[in-house]
Amino acid sequence: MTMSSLERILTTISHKEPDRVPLILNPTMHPARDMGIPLKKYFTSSELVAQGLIATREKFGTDAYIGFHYSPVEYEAFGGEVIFREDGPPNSGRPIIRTGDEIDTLTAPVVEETECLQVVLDMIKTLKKDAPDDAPIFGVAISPLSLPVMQMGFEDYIRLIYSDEIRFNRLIEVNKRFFMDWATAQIEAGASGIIYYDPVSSPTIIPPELYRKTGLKIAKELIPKVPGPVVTGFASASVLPILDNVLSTGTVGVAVWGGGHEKLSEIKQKCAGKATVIGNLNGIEMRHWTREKTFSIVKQVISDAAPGGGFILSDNHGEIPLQVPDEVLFAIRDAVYEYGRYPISV
Amino acid sequence: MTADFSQKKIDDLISALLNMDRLAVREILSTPHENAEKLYIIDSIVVPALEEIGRRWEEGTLAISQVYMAGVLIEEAITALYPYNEYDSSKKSKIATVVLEDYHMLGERIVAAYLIGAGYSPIRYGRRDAAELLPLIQKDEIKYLFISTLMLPSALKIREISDQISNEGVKIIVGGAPFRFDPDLGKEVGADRVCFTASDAITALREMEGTS
Repeated sequence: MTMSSLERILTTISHKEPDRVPLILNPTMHPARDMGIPLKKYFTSSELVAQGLIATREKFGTDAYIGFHYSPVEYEAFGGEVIFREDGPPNSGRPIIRTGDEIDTLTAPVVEETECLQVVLDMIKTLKKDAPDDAPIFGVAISPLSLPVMQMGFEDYIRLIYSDEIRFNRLIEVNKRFFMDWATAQIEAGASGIIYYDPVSSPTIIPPELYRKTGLKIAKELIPKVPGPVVTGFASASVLPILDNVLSTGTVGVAVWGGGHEKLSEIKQKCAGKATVIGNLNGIEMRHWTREKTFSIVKQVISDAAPGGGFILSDNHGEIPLQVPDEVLFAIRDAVYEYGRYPISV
Repeated sequence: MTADFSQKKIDDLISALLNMDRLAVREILSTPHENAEKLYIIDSIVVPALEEIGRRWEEGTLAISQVYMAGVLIEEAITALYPYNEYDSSKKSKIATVVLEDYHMLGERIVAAYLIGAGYSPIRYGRRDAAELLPLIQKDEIKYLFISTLMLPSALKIREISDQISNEGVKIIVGGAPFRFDPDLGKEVGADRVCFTASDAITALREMEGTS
Protein backbone atom coordinates (compact mmCIF):
# COMPACT_ATOMS: atom_id res chain seq x y z
CA MET A 1 0.00 0.00 0.00
CA THR A 2 1.33 3.43 -0.91
CA MET A 3 1.79 5.68 2.12
CA SER A 4 1.37 9.43 2.25
CA SER A 5 4.56 11.43 2.80
CA LEU A 6 3.56 12.00 6.41
CA GLU A 7 2.94 8.31 7.02
CA ARG A 8 6.22 7.45 5.33
CA ILE A 9 8.22 9.81 7.53
CA LEU A 10 6.39 8.91 10.74
CA THR A 11 7.00 5.23 10.03
CA THR A 12 10.69 5.65 9.36
CA ILE A 13 11.30 7.81 12.45
CA SER A 14 9.58 5.04 14.44
CA HIS A 15 12.40 2.80 13.16
CA LYS A 16 10.09 0.70 11.06
CA GLU A 17 10.16 0.19 7.33
CA PRO A 18 7.69 2.36 5.36
CA ASP A 19 6.63 1.65 1.76
CA ARG A 20 9.80 3.28 0.47
CA VAL A 21 12.70 5.42 1.62
CA PRO A 22 11.45 8.98 2.28
CA LEU A 23 13.12 11.71 0.23
CA ILE A 24 13.75 15.28 1.37
CA LEU A 25 15.33 17.66 -1.12
CA ASN A 26 15.64 21.35 -0.38
CA PRO A 27 16.53 23.25 -3.57
CA THR A 28 15.73 26.60 -1.99
CA MET A 29 16.55 28.74 -5.02
CA HIS A 30 15.26 26.63 -7.92
CA PRO A 31 11.62 27.76 -7.54
CA ALA A 32 12.60 31.43 -7.87
CA ARG A 33 14.52 30.60 -11.03
CA ASP A 34 11.50 28.70 -12.40
CA MET A 35 9.21 31.64 -11.56
CA GLY A 36 11.65 34.11 -13.13
CA ILE A 37 11.82 36.10 -9.90
CA PRO A 38 14.99 37.68 -8.44
CA LEU A 39 16.15 35.82 -5.34
CA LYS A 40 15.82 38.84 -3.04
CA LYS A 41 12.20 39.38 -4.07
CA TYR A 42 11.49 35.65 -3.71
CA PHE A 43 13.13 35.19 -0.31
CA THR A 44 11.47 38.24 1.22
CA SER A 45 7.96 37.05 0.30
CA SER A 46 6.16 34.51 2.45
CA GLU A 47 3.67 33.82 -0.34
CA LEU A 48 6.33 33.17 -2.99
CA VAL A 49 8.41 30.86 -0.77
CA ALA A 50 5.29 28.90 0.23
CA GLN A 51 4.36 28.55 -3.44
CA GLY A 52 7.93 27.54 -4.23
CA LEU A 53 7.96 24.83 -1.56
CA ILE A 54 4.67 23.40 -2.82
CA ALA A 55 5.98 23.45 -6.41
CA THR A 56 9.23 21.78 -5.32
CA ARG A 57 7.34 18.97 -3.67
CA GLU A 58 5.25 18.36 -6.76
CA LYS A 59 8.22 18.59 -9.09
CA PHE A 60 10.83 16.54 -7.26
CA GLY A 61 8.66 14.26 -5.14
CA THR A 62 10.10 15.40 -1.83
CA ASP A 63 8.31 14.06 1.26
CA ALA A 64 8.52 17.14 3.51
CA TYR A 65 8.49 20.90 3.38
CA ILE A 66 11.53 22.61 4.85
CA GLY A 67 9.97 25.85 6.09
CA PHE A 68 13.06 27.91 5.53
CA HIS A 69 13.90 31.13 3.68
CA TYR A 70 17.67 31.60 4.22
CA SER A 71 20.30 30.80 6.85
CA PRO A 72 21.06 34.32 8.11
CA VAL A 73 17.44 35.20 8.99
CA GLU A 74 18.18 34.90 12.73
CA TYR A 75 21.34 37.00 12.40
CA GLU A 76 19.16 39.51 10.53
CA ALA A 77 16.72 39.47 13.45
CA PHE A 78 19.61 40.56 15.70
CA GLY A 79 20.28 43.51 13.39
CA GLY A 80 22.60 41.96 10.82
CA GLU A 81 22.66 42.80 7.13
CA VAL A 82 21.78 40.00 4.73
CA ILE A 83 23.61 40.01 1.41
CA PHE A 84 21.48 38.75 -1.48
CA ARG A 85 22.98 37.52 -4.71
CA GLU A 86 21.51 35.92 -7.82
CA ASP A 87 23.78 32.88 -8.04
CA GLY A 88 23.54 31.55 -4.51
CA PRO A 89 21.85 31.69 -1.15
CA PRO A 90 21.74 34.90 0.89
CA ASN A 91 24.72 35.27 3.18
CA SER A 92 25.40 37.14 6.40
CA GLY A 93 27.25 40.43 6.12
CA ARG A 94 29.51 42.09 8.67
CA PRO A 95 29.37 40.73 12.21
CA ILE A 96 27.00 42.63 14.48
CA ILE A 97 29.09 42.02 17.60
CA ARG A 98 32.51 43.65 17.29
CA THR A 99 33.41 44.33 20.92
CA GLY A 100 32.96 42.57 24.22
CA ASP A 101 30.75 45.41 25.43
CA GLU A 102 28.26 44.57 22.70
CA ILE A 103 27.83 41.12 24.23
CA ASP A 104 27.21 42.71 27.63
CA THR A 105 24.30 44.72 26.25
CA LEU A 106 22.98 42.21 23.71
CA THR A 107 19.28 41.39 23.92
CA ALA A 108 17.27 38.81 22.06
CA PRO A 109 14.92 40.13 19.40
CA VAL A 110 11.22 39.79 20.11
CA VAL A 111 9.86 37.36 17.54
CA GLU A 112 6.47 39.05 17.28
CA GLU A 113 8.09 42.43 16.57
CA THR A 114 10.71 41.28 14.07
CA GLU A 115 9.66 41.57 10.45
CA CYS A 116 12.05 39.05 8.88
CA LEU A 117 10.92 36.38 11.35
CA GLN A 118 7.27 37.19 10.77
CA VAL A 119 7.79 36.62 7.04
CA VAL A 120 8.99 33.07 7.82
CA LEU A 121 6.09 32.47 10.20
CA ASP A 122 3.63 33.75 7.60
CA MET A 123 5.18 31.36 5.07
CA ILE A 124 4.69 28.42 7.48
CA LYS A 125 1.07 29.49 8.10
CA THR A 126 0.48 29.76 4.34
CA LEU A 127 2.00 26.33 3.79
CA LYS A 128 -0.17 24.88 6.53
CA LYS A 129 -3.23 26.41 4.89
CA ASP A 130 -2.48 25.84 1.18
CA ALA A 131 -0.26 22.77 0.96
CA PRO A 132 -1.69 19.27 0.78
CA ASP A 133 -1.91 18.14 4.39
CA ASP A 134 -0.04 14.92 3.81
CA ALA A 135 3.56 16.05 4.38
CA PRO A 136 5.27 17.43 7.46
CA ILE A 137 6.62 20.97 7.63
CA PHE A 138 9.99 21.39 9.34
CA GLY A 139 10.98 24.74 10.77
CA VAL A 140 14.66 25.61 11.18
CA ALA A 141 16.41 27.23 14.14
CA ILE A 142 20.15 27.73 14.58
CA SER A 143 21.56 26.47 17.85
CA PRO A 144 22.69 29.05 20.44
CA LEU A 145 26.23 27.70 20.06
CA SER A 146 26.27 28.07 16.28
CA LEU A 147 24.52 31.42 15.79
CA PRO A 148 27.53 33.48 17.02
CA VAL A 149 29.51 32.47 13.93
CA MET A 150 27.27 34.94 12.09
CA GLN A 151 26.84 37.33 15.01
CA MET A 152 30.59 37.72 15.66
CA GLY A 153 32.46 36.17 12.76
CA PHE A 154 34.19 32.83 13.12
CA GLU A 155 37.59 34.15 14.22
CA ASP A 156 36.40 36.35 17.04
CA TYR A 157 33.97 33.70 18.18
CA ILE A 158 36.66 31.04 18.48
CA ARG A 159 38.79 33.45 20.48
CA LEU A 160 35.83 34.21 22.73
CA ILE A 161 35.20 30.51 23.36
CA TYR A 162 38.78 30.03 24.49
CA SER A 163 39.34 33.28 26.32
CA ASP A 164 36.24 34.82 27.92
CA GLU A 165 33.96 32.33 29.63
CA ILE A 166 31.78 35.01 31.21
CA ARG A 167 30.92 36.74 27.95
CA PHE A 168 30.63 33.42 26.13
CA ASN A 169 28.06 32.28 28.70
CA ARG A 170 26.19 35.56 28.46
CA LEU A 171 26.02 35.34 24.65
CA ILE A 172 24.79 31.76 24.87
CA GLU A 173 22.10 32.72 27.41
CA VAL A 174 20.74 35.43 25.09
CA ASN A 175 20.77 33.03 22.18
CA LYS A 176 19.09 30.30 24.23
CA ARG A 177 16.18 32.60 25.04
CA PHE A 178 15.90 33.57 21.40
CA PHE A 179 16.12 29.97 20.20
CA MET A 180 13.25 28.86 22.43
CA ASP A 181 11.03 31.76 21.33
CA TRP A 182 11.85 31.21 17.67
CA ALA A 183 11.46 27.43 17.66
CA THR A 184 8.20 27.66 19.63
CA ALA A 185 6.80 30.33 17.31
CA GLN A 186 7.46 28.12 14.28
CA ILE A 187 5.70 25.16 15.88
CA GLU A 188 2.76 27.42 16.81
CA ALA A 189 2.64 28.69 13.21
CA GLY A 190 2.19 25.12 11.97
CA ALA A 191 5.62 23.48 11.76
CA SER A 192 5.52 19.78 12.59
CA GLY A 193 9.07 19.79 13.96
CA ILE A 194 12.30 21.78 14.14
CA ILE A 195 15.67 21.26 12.53
CA TYR A 196 18.25 22.25 15.17
CA TYR A 197 21.10 23.49 13.04
CA ASP A 198 24.28 23.04 15.06
CA PRO A 199 27.45 22.78 12.95
CA VAL A 200 29.69 24.33 15.63
CA SER A 201 29.09 21.31 17.86
CA SER A 202 30.70 19.06 15.24
CA PRO A 203 34.22 17.71 15.92
CA THR A 204 35.12 19.39 12.62
CA ILE A 205 34.70 22.74 14.37
CA ILE A 206 35.41 22.24 18.09
CA PRO A 207 37.01 19.30 19.94
CA PRO A 208 34.59 16.74 21.41
CA GLU A 209 35.66 17.57 24.98
CA LEU A 210 34.73 21.21 24.42
CA TYR A 211 31.41 20.18 22.84
CA ARG A 212 30.60 18.15 25.95
CA LYS A 213 31.05 21.29 28.08
CA THR A 214 29.10 23.55 25.70
CA GLY A 215 26.97 22.35 22.78
CA LEU A 216 25.91 19.13 24.45
CA LYS A 217 24.70 20.87 27.61
CA ILE A 218 22.82 23.46 25.55
CA ALA A 219 21.16 20.83 23.36
CA LYS A 220 20.19 18.67 26.35
CA GLU A 221 18.60 21.68 28.00
CA LEU A 222 16.76 23.05 24.96
CA ILE A 223 15.74 20.16 22.73
CA PRO A 224 13.37 18.58 25.28
CA LYS A 225 11.68 21.97 25.77
CA VAL A 226 10.83 22.45 22.09
CA PRO A 227 7.10 21.70 21.73
CA GLY A 228 7.67 19.31 18.83
CA PRO A 229 10.19 16.77 17.53
CA VAL A 230 13.70 18.04 16.83
CA VAL A 231 16.20 16.88 14.22
CA THR A 232 19.83 17.93 14.63
CA GLY A 233 21.79 19.04 11.56
CA PHE A 234 25.54 19.42 11.28
CA ALA A 235 25.82 20.99 7.80
CA SER A 236 28.17 18.44 6.27
CA ALA A 237 30.51 18.44 9.27
CA SER A 238 31.60 15.26 11.05
CA VAL A 239 29.60 13.68 13.85
CA LEU A 240 30.82 10.16 14.68
CA PRO A 241 33.06 11.01 17.68
CA ILE A 242 30.12 12.74 19.43
CA LEU A 243 27.26 10.69 18.05
CA ASP A 244 26.50 8.91 21.34
CA ASN A 245 26.25 12.31 23.03
CA VAL A 246 24.05 13.71 20.27
CA LEU A 247 21.71 10.75 20.68
CA SER A 248 21.37 11.60 24.38
CA THR A 249 19.93 15.07 23.66
CA GLY A 250 16.44 13.89 22.76
CA THR A 251 16.89 14.51 19.04
CA VAL A 252 14.77 12.24 16.85
CA GLY A 253 17.05 12.53 13.85
CA VAL A 254 20.56 13.45 12.79
CA ALA A 255 21.34 15.05 9.43
CA VAL A 256 24.83 13.89 8.49
CA TRP A 257 27.55 13.70 5.90
CA GLY A 258 28.85 10.16 5.95
CA GLY A 259 31.65 10.89 3.54
CA GLY A 260 35.35 11.50 3.87
CA HIS A 261 36.58 9.68 6.95
CA GLU A 262 33.09 8.88 8.30
CA LYS A 263 31.04 6.05 6.90
CA LEU A 264 27.28 6.31 6.54
CA SER A 265 26.84 2.63 7.42
CA GLU A 266 28.66 3.15 10.74
CA ILE A 267 26.56 6.23 11.55
CA LYS A 268 23.39 4.27 10.75
CA GLN A 269 24.52 1.37 12.91
CA LYS A 270 25.06 3.67 15.90
CA CYS A 271 21.72 5.41 15.36
CA ALA A 272 19.66 2.30 14.73
CA GLY A 273 16.55 2.29 16.92
CA LYS A 274 17.55 5.63 18.49
CA ALA A 275 17.44 8.36 15.85
CA THR A 276 16.69 8.64 12.15
CA VAL A 277 19.66 9.28 9.89
CA ILE A 278 19.17 11.95 7.21
CA GLY A 279 21.64 12.26 4.35
CA ASN A 280 23.92 11.60 2.48
CA LEU A 281 24.18 13.01 -1.03
CA ASN A 282 27.03 15.41 -1.79
CA GLY A 283 25.24 18.61 -2.81
CA ILE A 284 28.36 20.29 -4.20
CA GLU A 285 29.55 17.36 -6.26
CA MET A 286 26.10 16.46 -7.60
CA ARG A 287 26.29 19.40 -10.03
CA HIS A 288 28.20 17.05 -12.34
CA TRP A 289 26.36 13.80 -11.77
CA THR A 290 25.02 11.93 -14.76
CA ARG A 291 21.78 10.01 -14.41
CA GLU A 292 23.77 6.77 -14.26
CA LYS A 293 26.08 8.09 -11.56
CA THR A 294 23.12 9.43 -9.58
CA PHE A 295 21.43 6.02 -9.67
CA SER A 296 24.64 4.32 -8.60
CA ILE A 297 25.19 6.68 -5.64
CA VAL A 298 21.58 6.57 -4.47
CA LYS A 299 21.65 2.78 -4.68
CA GLN A 300 24.77 2.63 -2.51
CA VAL A 301 23.40 5.06 0.07
CA ILE A 302 20.14 3.12 0.31
CA SER A 303 22.05 -0.13 0.68
CA ASP A 304 24.19 1.37 3.47
CA ALA A 305 21.47 3.04 5.53
CA ALA A 306 17.90 2.20 4.56
CA PRO A 307 17.33 -1.38 5.79
CA GLY A 308 15.20 -1.41 8.94
CA GLY A 309 13.83 2.10 8.43
CA GLY A 310 15.16 5.07 10.37
CA PHE A 311 16.57 6.67 7.24
CA ILE A 312 15.61 9.62 5.04
CA LEU A 313 17.48 10.28 1.80
CA SER A 314 18.58 13.88 1.48
CA ASP A 315 21.60 15.97 0.62
CA ASN A 316 24.44 16.41 3.11
CA HIS A 317 23.97 20.11 3.87
CA GLY A 318 20.26 20.93 3.93
CA GLU A 319 20.26 23.17 0.89
CA ILE A 320 20.80 22.16 -2.75
CA PRO A 321 22.96 24.67 -4.69
CA LEU A 322 21.26 26.55 -7.51
CA GLN A 323 23.89 25.14 -9.88
CA VAL A 324 22.52 21.59 -9.50
CA PRO A 325 20.51 20.82 -12.66
CA ASP A 326 16.89 19.70 -12.39
CA GLU A 327 17.86 16.51 -14.22
CA VAL A 328 20.00 15.42 -11.28
CA LEU A 329 17.16 16.03 -8.82
CA PHE A 330 14.77 14.12 -11.09
CA ALA A 331 17.31 11.29 -11.22
CA ILE A 332 17.54 11.23 -7.40
CA ARG A 333 13.75 11.01 -7.18
CA ASP A 334 13.59 8.26 -9.81
CA ALA A 335 16.41 6.30 -8.18
CA VAL A 336 14.63 6.38 -4.82
CA TYR A 337 11.50 5.07 -6.48
CA GLU A 338 13.52 2.30 -8.12
CA TYR A 339 15.82 1.21 -5.28
CA GLY A 340 14.06 2.54 -2.18
CA ARG A 341 11.02 0.26 -2.04
CA TYR A 342 10.88 -1.79 1.12
CA PRO A 343 11.96 -4.45 1.71
CA ILE A 344 15.24 -3.12 0.39
CA SER A 345 16.84 -5.51 -2.09
CA VAL A 346 19.90 -3.63 -3.34
CA MET B 1 71.04 19.14 16.05
CA THR B 2 70.10 15.46 15.93
CA ALA B 3 66.94 14.06 14.37
CA ASP B 4 65.78 12.88 17.82
CA PHE B 5 66.29 16.36 19.23
CA SER B 6 64.26 17.87 16.39
CA GLN B 7 61.46 15.33 16.74
CA LYS B 8 61.17 16.06 20.46
CA LYS B 9 61.00 19.78 19.70
CA ILE B 10 58.32 19.14 17.07
CA ASP B 11 56.28 17.07 19.52
CA ASP B 12 56.73 19.68 22.25
CA LEU B 13 55.67 22.45 19.90
CA ILE B 14 52.55 20.57 18.79
CA SER B 15 51.60 20.00 22.44
CA ALA B 16 52.21 23.64 23.32
CA LEU B 17 50.15 24.85 20.36
CA LEU B 18 47.25 22.54 21.07
CA ASN B 19 47.32 23.42 24.77
CA MET B 20 47.47 27.11 23.79
CA ASP B 21 50.55 27.56 25.97
CA ARG B 22 52.07 30.78 24.62
CA LEU B 23 55.05 30.72 26.98
CA ALA B 24 55.96 27.19 26.02
CA VAL B 25 55.70 28.03 22.32
CA ARG B 26 58.06 31.00 22.77
CA GLU B 27 60.47 28.94 24.84
CA ILE B 28 60.60 26.10 22.31
CA LEU B 29 61.25 28.49 19.44
CA SER B 30 63.65 30.84 21.21
CA THR B 31 67.24 30.58 20.24
CA PRO B 32 70.15 32.83 21.10
CA HIS B 33 72.02 31.75 18.00
CA GLU B 34 72.51 33.08 14.52
CA ASN B 35 69.89 33.75 11.90
CA ALA B 36 70.82 30.55 10.08
CA GLU B 37 69.73 28.59 13.13
CA LYS B 38 66.47 30.44 13.20
CA LEU B 39 65.87 29.34 9.63
CA TYR B 40 66.70 25.82 10.66
CA ILE B 41 64.13 26.01 13.45
CA ILE B 42 61.42 27.20 11.10
CA ASP B 43 62.18 24.54 8.51
CA SER B 44 62.87 21.69 10.91
CA ILE B 45 60.55 22.41 13.84
CA VAL B 46 57.77 24.83 12.92
CA VAL B 47 56.85 23.59 9.46
CA PRO B 48 56.78 19.89 10.45
CA ALA B 49 54.66 20.75 13.49
CA LEU B 50 52.19 22.69 11.33
CA GLU B 51 52.16 19.86 8.80
CA GLU B 52 51.33 17.38 11.56
CA ILE B 53 48.52 19.60 12.81
CA GLY B 54 47.22 19.80 9.24
CA ARG B 55 47.43 16.03 8.92
CA ARG B 56 45.42 15.53 12.11
CA TRP B 57 42.78 18.01 10.88
CA GLU B 58 42.60 16.13 7.60
CA GLU B 59 42.10 12.79 9.38
CA GLY B 60 39.44 14.36 11.60
CA THR B 61 41.20 14.16 14.96
CA LEU B 62 41.65 17.92 15.36
CA ALA B 63 38.99 20.60 15.09
CA ILE B 64 39.22 23.81 13.08
CA SER B 65 39.19 25.81 16.33
CA GLN B 66 42.43 24.08 17.37
CA VAL B 67 43.99 24.57 13.93
CA TYR B 68 43.08 28.26 14.09
CA MET B 69 44.42 28.83 17.60
CA ALA B 70 47.65 27.01 16.68
CA GLY B 71 47.99 29.41 13.75
CA VAL B 72 47.40 32.44 15.94
CA LEU B 73 50.04 31.32 18.45
CA ILE B 74 52.64 30.40 15.87
CA GLU B 75 52.12 33.71 14.04
CA GLU B 76 52.55 35.64 17.29
CA ALA B 77 55.70 33.73 18.19
CA ILE B 78 57.36 33.92 14.79
CA THR B 79 56.54 37.59 14.39
CA ALA B 80 58.00 38.37 17.81
CA LEU B 81 61.06 36.16 17.57
CA TYR B 82 62.00 36.67 13.94
CA PRO B 83 60.90 40.09 12.78
CA TYR B 84 60.24 40.51 9.06
CA ASN B 85 63.41 42.42 8.31
CA GLU B 86 65.64 39.82 9.84
CA TYR B 87 64.27 37.03 7.78
CA ASP B 88 65.56 35.46 4.60
CA SER B 89 64.79 37.84 1.77
CA SER B 90 64.27 34.95 -0.66
CA LYS B 91 61.13 34.15 1.27
CA LYS B 92 59.63 37.53 0.63
CA SER B 93 58.06 36.35 -2.63
CA LYS B 94 55.01 38.39 -3.31
CA ILE B 95 52.27 36.34 -1.73
CA ALA B 96 48.73 37.44 -0.98
CA THR B 97 45.79 35.82 0.76
CA VAL B 98 42.19 36.78 0.14
CA VAL B 99 38.70 35.58 0.97
CA LEU B 100 36.32 35.93 -1.90
CA GLU B 101 32.94 37.59 -1.35
CA ASP B 102 32.40 36.45 2.20
CA TYR B 103 32.66 37.95 5.64
CA HIS B 104 33.70 34.59 7.11
CA MET B 105 37.44 35.00 6.93
CA LEU B 106 38.59 32.14 9.12
CA GLY B 107 40.11 30.07 6.32
CA GLU B 108 42.12 32.97 4.93
CA ARG B 109 43.23 33.95 8.42
CA ILE B 110 44.49 30.44 9.16
CA VAL B 111 46.37 30.16 5.86
CA ALA B 112 48.02 33.56 6.42
CA ALA B 113 49.04 32.56 9.95
CA TYR B 114 50.54 29.27 8.78
CA LEU B 115 52.46 31.00 5.98
CA ILE B 116 53.83 33.50 8.49
CA GLY B 117 54.73 30.60 10.73
CA ALA B 118 56.72 29.14 7.85
CA GLY B 119 58.62 32.38 7.43
CA TYR B 120 56.65 34.03 4.64
CA SER B 121 55.15 37.51 4.70
CA PRO B 122 51.81 37.35 2.90
CA ILE B 123 49.85 40.49 2.13
CA ARG B 124 46.35 40.02 3.54
CA TYR B 125 43.68 41.43 1.24
CA GLY B 126 40.85 40.38 3.54
CA ARG B 127 37.41 40.21 1.97
CA ARG B 128 37.32 41.20 -1.69
CA ASP B 129 35.03 40.89 -4.66
CA ALA B 130 36.44 39.07 -7.68
CA ALA B 131 36.60 42.27 -9.73
CA GLU B 132 38.88 43.95 -7.17
CA LEU B 133 41.60 41.34 -7.35
CA LEU B 134 43.32 41.97 -10.66
CA PRO B 135 44.26 45.62 -9.98
CA LEU B 136 45.47 44.64 -6.52
CA ILE B 137 47.76 41.85 -7.63
CA GLN B 138 49.12 44.03 -10.43
CA LYS B 139 49.85 46.88 -8.03
CA ASP B 140 51.53 44.61 -5.48
CA GLU B 141 53.27 42.44 -8.11
CA ILE B 142 51.87 39.31 -6.51
CA LYS B 143 53.24 35.96 -7.66
CA TYR B 144 51.18 33.57 -5.53
CA LEU B 145 47.54 34.27 -4.69
CA PHE B 146 45.81 32.16 -2.04
CA ILE B 147 42.01 32.36 -2.42
CA SER B 148 39.73 31.07 0.31
CA THR B 149 36.02 30.57 -0.24
CA LEU B 150 33.19 29.32 1.91
CA MET B 151 30.31 29.18 -0.55
CA LEU B 152 30.11 27.41 -3.90
CA PRO B 153 29.01 30.54 -5.85
CA SER B 154 32.07 32.40 -4.56
CA ALA B 155 34.31 29.52 -5.59
CA LEU B 156 32.77 29.54 -9.06
CA LYS B 157 33.54 33.30 -9.32
CA ILE B 158 37.24 32.40 -9.45
CA ARG B 159 36.61 31.05 -12.96
CA GLU B 160 35.72 34.57 -14.12
CA ILE B 161 39.12 35.96 -13.15
CA SER B 162 41.51 33.03 -13.19
CA ASP B 163 42.59 33.44 -16.83
CA GLN B 164 43.39 37.12 -16.34
CA ILE B 165 45.26 36.40 -13.14
CA SER B 166 47.21 33.56 -14.72
CA ASN B 167 48.10 35.80 -17.65
CA GLU B 168 49.83 38.06 -15.14
CA GLY B 169 52.07 35.12 -14.24
CA VAL B 170 50.34 34.65 -10.90
CA LYS B 171 49.79 31.17 -9.48
CA ILE B 172 46.34 30.66 -7.99
CA ILE B 173 46.05 28.43 -4.93
CA VAL B 174 42.51 27.78 -3.67
CA GLY B 175 40.94 26.23 -0.60
CA GLY B 176 37.76 26.13 1.45
CA ALA B 177 34.70 23.99 1.95
CA PRO B 178 33.47 23.76 -1.66
CA PHE B 179 36.83 22.38 -2.76
CA ARG B 180 36.74 19.72 -0.07
CA PHE B 181 33.41 18.44 -1.36
CA ASP B 182 34.25 18.51 -5.06
CA PRO B 183 37.75 17.34 -5.96
CA ASP B 184 37.33 18.61 -9.53
CA LEU B 185 36.28 22.12 -8.57
CA GLY B 186 39.84 23.50 -8.48
CA LYS B 187 40.42 22.48 -12.07
CA GLU B 188 36.99 23.80 -13.06
CA VAL B 189 37.77 27.30 -11.80
CA GLY B 190 41.28 27.40 -13.26
CA ALA B 191 43.30 27.08 -10.05
CA ASP B 192 46.90 25.93 -10.14
CA ARG B 193 46.62 24.12 -6.80
CA VAL B 194 43.95 23.12 -4.30
CA CYS B 195 44.83 22.99 -0.61
CA PHE B 196 42.81 20.90 1.81
CA THR B 197 44.60 22.03 4.98
CA ALA B 198 46.40 25.20 6.01
CA SER B 199 49.71 23.40 6.05
CA ASP B 200 49.08 22.29 2.45
CA ALA B 201 49.51 25.96 1.63
CA ILE B 202 53.11 25.83 2.82
CA THR B 203 53.80 22.64 0.87
CA ALA B 204 52.17 24.03 -2.26
CA LEU B 205 54.13 27.25 -2.07
CA ARG B 206 57.43 25.50 -1.53
CA GLU B 207 56.81 23.14 -4.41
CA MET B 208 55.83 25.93 -6.76
CA GLU B 209 58.82 27.98 -5.69
CA GLY B 210 61.04 24.95 -6.16
CA THR B 211 62.31 25.14 -2.60
CA SER B 212 60.84 21.94 -1.17
